[in-house]
Amino acid sequence: MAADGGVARQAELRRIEGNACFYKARFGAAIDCYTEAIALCPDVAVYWMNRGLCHFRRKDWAKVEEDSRKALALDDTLVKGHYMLGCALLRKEECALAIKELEKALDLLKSSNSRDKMAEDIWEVLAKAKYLDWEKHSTQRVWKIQNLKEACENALQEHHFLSGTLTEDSVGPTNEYSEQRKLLSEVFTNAILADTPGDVPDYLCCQITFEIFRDPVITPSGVTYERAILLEHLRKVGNFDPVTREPLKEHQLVPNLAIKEAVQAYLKEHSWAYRSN
Amino acid sequence: MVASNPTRIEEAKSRLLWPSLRLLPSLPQEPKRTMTSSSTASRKALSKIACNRLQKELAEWQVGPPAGFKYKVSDNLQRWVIEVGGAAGTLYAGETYQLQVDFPEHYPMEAPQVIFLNPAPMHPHIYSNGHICLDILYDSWSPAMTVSSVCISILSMLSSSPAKQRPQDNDRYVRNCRNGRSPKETRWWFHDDKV
Repeated sequence: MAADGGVARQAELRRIEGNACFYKARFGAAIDCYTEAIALCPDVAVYWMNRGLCHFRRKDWAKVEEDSRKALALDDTLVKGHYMLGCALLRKEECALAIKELEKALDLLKSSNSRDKMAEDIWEVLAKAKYLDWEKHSTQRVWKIQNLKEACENALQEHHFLSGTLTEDSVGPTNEYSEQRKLLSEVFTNAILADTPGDVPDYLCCQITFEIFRDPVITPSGVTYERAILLEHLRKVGNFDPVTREPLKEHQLVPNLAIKEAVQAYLKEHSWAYRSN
Repeated sequence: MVASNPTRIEEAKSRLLWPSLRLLPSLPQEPKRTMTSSSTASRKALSKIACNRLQKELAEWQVGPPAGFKYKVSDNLQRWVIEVGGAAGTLYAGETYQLQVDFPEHYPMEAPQVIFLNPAPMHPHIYSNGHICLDILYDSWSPAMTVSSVCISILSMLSSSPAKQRPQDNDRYVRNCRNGRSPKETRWWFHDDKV
């Protein structure tokens, strides 16, 4: 027992030393300290985490992945661990896996109830991952649908050719072939509609930022805003509702859960909307 | 988004207190020596929020600009020059003026600086140096307003003018504004205009 306590204390001293180096941005030295701490006590998640953070700052992604996996194996509730692993996976373009880690990080952060800059960072990477994931899949989807469209058009033409109704330039009132071709083209346009980037509907966007909502709050006037920007408005511009100019205080704001769900449903179908400028 | 949003336009209109109330500039006794301070401040690069929002405003403007206005194409997102045509049936019918809109770093948390380029229209609320006496550009700004809604307010102010004349204190004010002082530095105040 006594020996164990001594080892643990020594490892802890290494960690403190490592932290000091880390804050001076001497990441190489910090890595050495944490490596020693790990050698002494390999079961302490924080040592792996901190070393991972050093690699993170040095953008050494393979090592970030390695250390954050070790840390998470010891403690699955480390927000930063999931965040770092998510970033490392995104580098490897393993979008789906990255999204899983980043969402886990956000969930953990939400339950810990701390509203710091971390949530912003995680969300930004998550949005990037979702967008990349969409880009990858949508290209494939659109390509497949395009091929199917061509095949269908050819089949339709062949069908009409064989049944002798292929009268493309006829002006008769019921030109079945050209009508069917038009309809077919419409069907396929609709099939890729959700994968076609466009404008997010106004009702899902904040009237101050013009961006899609993330944390919508509703005022007593019934207008919904993005929470962060509205708080900034109350702090910097004045205590009034920006659209109606009714008096407004922070405690009157209520989360608009319905809009939040609508945004989530919209993003699920239109992942291109994750793109930020 | 802007043009199709009646609430926002109504809002802009209701902010227009002309002619019962008007603003008068209160001039600092000693013109400040460091008058360039605000112009350098306004040249600070746009924040990320400002940049995103202006890009969207511009895109919407290009889809549906407010009637009577024309954006003069440039690659400077931070300074827009907009052509205004006087509305038919008003004192300014057939005339064209230019508005210059400069955006601060923290737009839309701060109002843009809006002035008429020379020559400014003759109007009881527009000074000969182009400064516009309109509350929404200063104390009554709200981040829910847009370039589009500001333009509509200005055109509505022009349209309701009873006479082509300069503000009474034009010479005194313009003299005090030399060195290119921003109208945002002026302490405008409400003044009853019934007299």
